[in-house]
This record gives sequence, structure tokens and C-alpha cells, in this order.
Amino acid sequence: MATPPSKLTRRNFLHRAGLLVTAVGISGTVHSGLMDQITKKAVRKWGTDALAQTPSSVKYLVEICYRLGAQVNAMFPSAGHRTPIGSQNPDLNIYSSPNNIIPLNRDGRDTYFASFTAGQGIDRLRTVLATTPGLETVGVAASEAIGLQTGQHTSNFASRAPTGVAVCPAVLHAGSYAPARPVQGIAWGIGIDNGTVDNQRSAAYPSLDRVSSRGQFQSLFRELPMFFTRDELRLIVGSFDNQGSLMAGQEGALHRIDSMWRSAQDPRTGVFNDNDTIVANSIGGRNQSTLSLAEQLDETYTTIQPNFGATIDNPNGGAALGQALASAAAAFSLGASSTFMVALDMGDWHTDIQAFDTAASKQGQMNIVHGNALAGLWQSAAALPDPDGDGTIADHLLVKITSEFTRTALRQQNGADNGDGGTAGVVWMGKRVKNGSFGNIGGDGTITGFDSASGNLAGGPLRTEMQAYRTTLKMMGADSMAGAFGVGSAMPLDAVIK
Amino acid sequence: MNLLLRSAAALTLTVIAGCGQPYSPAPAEHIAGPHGGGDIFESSPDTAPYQTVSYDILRSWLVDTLHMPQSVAVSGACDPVIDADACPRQAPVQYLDANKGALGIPVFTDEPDGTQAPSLMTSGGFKVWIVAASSACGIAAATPSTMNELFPAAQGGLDSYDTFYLLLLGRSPTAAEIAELDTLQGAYSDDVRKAAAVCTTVLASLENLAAN
Repeated sequence: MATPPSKLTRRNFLHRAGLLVTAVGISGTVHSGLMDQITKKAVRKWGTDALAQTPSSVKYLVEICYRLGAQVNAMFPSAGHRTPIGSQNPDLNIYSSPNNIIPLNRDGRDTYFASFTAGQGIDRLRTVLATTPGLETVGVAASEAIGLQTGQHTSNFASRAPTGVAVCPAVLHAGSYAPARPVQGIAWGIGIDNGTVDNQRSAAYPSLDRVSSRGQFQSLFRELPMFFTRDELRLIVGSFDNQGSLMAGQEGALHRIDSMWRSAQDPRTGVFNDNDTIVANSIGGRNQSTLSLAEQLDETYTTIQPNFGATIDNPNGGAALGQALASAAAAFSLGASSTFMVALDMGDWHTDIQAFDTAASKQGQMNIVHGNALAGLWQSAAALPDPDGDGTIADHLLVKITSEFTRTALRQQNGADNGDGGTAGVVWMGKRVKNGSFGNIGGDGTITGFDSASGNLAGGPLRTEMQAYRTTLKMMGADSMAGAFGVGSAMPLDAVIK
Repeated sequence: MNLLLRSAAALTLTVIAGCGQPYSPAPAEHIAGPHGGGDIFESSPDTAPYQTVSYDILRSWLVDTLHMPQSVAVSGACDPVIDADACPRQAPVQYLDANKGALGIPVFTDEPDGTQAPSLMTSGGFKVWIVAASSACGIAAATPSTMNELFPAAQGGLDSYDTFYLLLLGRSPTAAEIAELDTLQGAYSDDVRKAAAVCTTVLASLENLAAN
């Protein structure tokens, strides 16, 4: 019995080589309709399955870790921050006016997005999530009502490693839960594991590859050492366009030798034609043999770069989050990596007191720079196909934002100080995430927790960093590790998990 | 007949199970593996007129025909932090072995008579073969004794493709093929590259890879 041939593999190859994006043929001058084109191309080329929205496994994880007390409410405020100014405690530690705190309702709950500049930053993220096809079911769960477990000023956040044996999410994902990739996990930033943010792990889990710039990231991918240069090999196998088709007049000696055999010597002439899988696979393989992953990463990055706005290179927090997330999107789509952890040192916030909605403030810059990066990531993820042919990157992406601690709900020193905080800030984003602002900071500065199961406001002790950690495990499909990591007694926050 | 010869050669080999490239954070640089190929659960029509030769035959061409060592320790041009599995330039057999899974649908059979059905090579498999074969051809072309086996000096060396064609395809090249390969040679700067280019072209040709 004949062995069944595999399905059209050139299609898979094109998928996996990330040529969907490069095929658009637009360089750095990409216009605003780029994603429309990509979306249309995806549908035309692979059907609507390319835009499937089924929330499935978390194949791709991005962890953004803020050191030194970044104000999460500069991006995702609580409902109480929308209290009319006249009814607010004048020391309420919020930098957005109520009208510029805009909800996005999904899953029956509102998540609040702070807008410092219309169309920029977190405001743009909200628009991207609300209007981009393929992102309709992405939830954003935000909370500043998570009690600190070990206090503040630590590089080893309890919400990422609440016990001595716990492994932080990025390391765990890269080491055990992500599909195999050439460079599995990236740790992007300054001082990682050396003072800024630690990635706690055990010997069973390899450390992530550390980089602090796009150049360093690109250098992780080297060319496959082979005898011929790519240009020399092209003389044999041919040159290909961005669609993966042989270029007329540059087919290569192999193609011409094959053609001679097929037309004159092949005993099955007339049966063995251009549509046969063996022919398509041969052409696909020839194309692959001349492709460079590093070049593909560069091309994809260039193509999606406009999604990340003018602040893509802004090093707010010590590293350019836009570059990191654009690199992540490109790497995910090309099957080059599965996991990104970004460490940002946000510095001192104590005396950064400015009027509402000041875009130039520390809070405003964090909102705009990091919001643009997040918007770019999700916009790109919605259009970039999963390299394994399973929907889009967005279908399998989890973004987790953790602030070491947030600032006090009410300013201190008679309103002159963003005090070191009493809670942790956590945000999850993805298709396995239930939308909502969980817990609350009231207009009077009262912090209220929430019920782990229902998500409804609940008095009493706040939810814990250990619970937040276990929640991330559960979202990743790693809840079975809770016992081994010493967090089995902490109930996950099921209210934020779909 | 050609296939029978190839199959017989394959039986002399020890099948080395392919393995993936497990996650290791240690190397400072990494190389992408080949992509492509469906899986055995995908339904496909059974009308394809051709399959492709098996991994064993591919490996035999490298080991028995081009005299590539089955295991080498990489160095120099292949940075020491790169495994031999990812360095076809110096270790084409190990690269082929490591990427066996990308070649196509594995053939599972205990039949002792060498009649096992060949697999259908995926696009990733074609890539693996082109990269492995071209690198092996480069090494072979730089080895005088092997070069003399493939393109005997007594027959004109690189001026004659007869021996190599007979060895691989069981026939002599046509005039058109000779002209094409002559043109190809002319595009390369030195004899090693010229020979490697001819060798690669024949090894990667559909005629050489197709089985029926």
C-alpha cells in the first residue's frame, strides 16, 4: 500500500517562513492600510482559518515586568478613578481626568484605559482591541488590588515567584510549555538577574537568552553554516520572489535539469506535472535553502514597525519596549521564539506630580510609549499567522504585565509624594483572559478586593501575589505545577480566566 | 533497477534515529531548523505518481558515494558553540541525521527484503537534502581521491560528467544536460566550487530523488 503523501507543504512552508507579511511588498514606508492588506491577503491565501479566534493554548508569552513601583493606573485605572473630580479625595493618586478614563466592555465587565493623547498609547491600544478583526475576544484583566506578599523594592517579584521553589512564568513557559523554537526564550532589558528583575528558576529550567537591544536579539540568529554562500546556491536552486515563486530567468540549473528530465526522459511524462506535490515540495525546499531567518526577522520587523508608532525606539524604562515587542511578534510569526520577558526599570516616582492628562509627565510617557508598544503587538499579532498554521499569533498569545508595586492610592506628604505602595499591579491580556477591572480604588482612596471566583468586589483581605502567580500558571496550562512550586494552597483567580 | 541498487545500498546502513534539536540556552547563537511538511493525519489523495527515495538512500549517497564521515567534531568555520547537528558545512551527515524528521513521512517496516515503500519528501526535507548534499559535495570536491572517483582524471575530470551520472542516475548525460552543467560551472570561480555545483545539481535533481 502506498504511503499517503503529505499535504501541500509549500503552503505550510510559506506559512512558516512568514512570507505572508513580506509578500505584501511594503517596506519602511508602510501606509496605514497595511493591516487591511495583510488581513485580506490572509483570507485570500489561506481562507478564514487564518483569522480563527479560538482561544487555545498559550504558545506565546510576553511578560512585561516593571521595577520600582510603576503606576499601573497610568495605563489601566480602576473604576473609582472615574469619580468626578469634585468628589475625589484631592490626594487621589491618579493622573487622568475622569473623562479620559475610557472603558472597554467585554465579558460583561469594563476594563479602563487611560488616555493622555487621543490615538496614542493606551488609548490606541483600546482602539486596536476594539476595532481590529481577530481581536474581538481578547480580554484585558487589570487589578491594583493585589496585596503585596513580601513588601517592595525587590528584584524577585512575589507575583512571579512567590516561593523559593517557584519558577517564574517566562522561564516555565519557555522550558516546558512552549513549542520548540530555535531561540526559545528571550529576556530583554538591562540588569536582568542582576539587580533589576530576577527570573527565578530551578536547575530543571534553562535560563532565557538575555539581550538589551534589537541588535543583540538579531545576533542570536546566525546563518546556517553551509558550503555555498546563498548567492552561490541560488545559481543552482534558483532565486525566489516574496511569494515563494521561482523568478523568471533566474530559475537555476536544477530547475532546467529537472525540466529536461520531465519533458524528455521521465517515463511518466504527462502524469508528473507542475501540480504534483513532489514538484511543489522541491521548489519549496529550494526556496527554504536560500532563506535566512535573520533576514526574515528583519523584513517582518520592518513591515510591522508602523504598527508600533513613532515611539518604537523610545527607551522609557531603560529598554525600548516597542523594539522588544515588535521583535517578539516577528519572532513568534517566524517560528523563531516563543517567549519574551521584558524588564523595565521605571525609576523613582515620588515627586512626579503633574496636572491631569499631562502627556509629558512620567505617567503620560509611560502610557504613550508602552501603550503604543502594546497596541503594535496586538495589531501585528492579529495579522501574523501562527507558523504552525494554527490561526494567528493573537490566538495563542498571553501578555502578562507585573509592577513590582504600585504607588499609594492617596498621595502622601500633603499630596507631594507618590508614596511607595501597598499593593501589586497585575494585568493579563489574551483570548483566555476575561475582561475587567478587578477590585477597585475608590475616589476616596479605599482599596477594595474582589472575589476569586466571581470577580465581584469583596471586602476583607485582598487577593494575593501567590494567587496571581497561580492564575498565570493556570492560564498557561501549567496549573498542575502548583503543588511542586509550593502554591497549591493559593486558589487561582478564576474570575479572570476564560 | 536504479531503485533496487539504491535500496540494496540502503540495507547496508545502520539506521540512526533522527532526533530533534532540544531547547538549550547555552549557545550564544542559534539556527533555525527546516520547516514544512504535513502530518500523517492529514488526508491526501493517493494519486501522486511519485514518491521520493528514503532517508537511508540519501544517507548512503553521502556516506558511501561521497565518503562523508558519519561523525565529525566541528570547529573553525563552524563556531564551537554550534553543534555538529547544525553545521552541514562540516558535518553534513549529522545534519541530515538530526533533521531526518523533516524529510518526510517516516516509513515503519520490519520487512527484511528491502521492499519498504519510500517516503514523500517534504519541502523541509528538500531543504535539508539540498543543504546537506551541497555541503557534502563541497567537502568531496576538495578531497582529491573522492574527486577522482566522481570525475576521474582519466576521463577528463570536470570536463566529463559520465561517471557521475552513471553512478547516480545509471545513465549518461544528454547533450542538453552537459551544456547546462557546463554553463553552471562557468559561474563559479574555482574547481572545487565547480565540481560541488555539478554534484549538488545531480544529487538534488528530481530524477535522482524520485522513486516509483
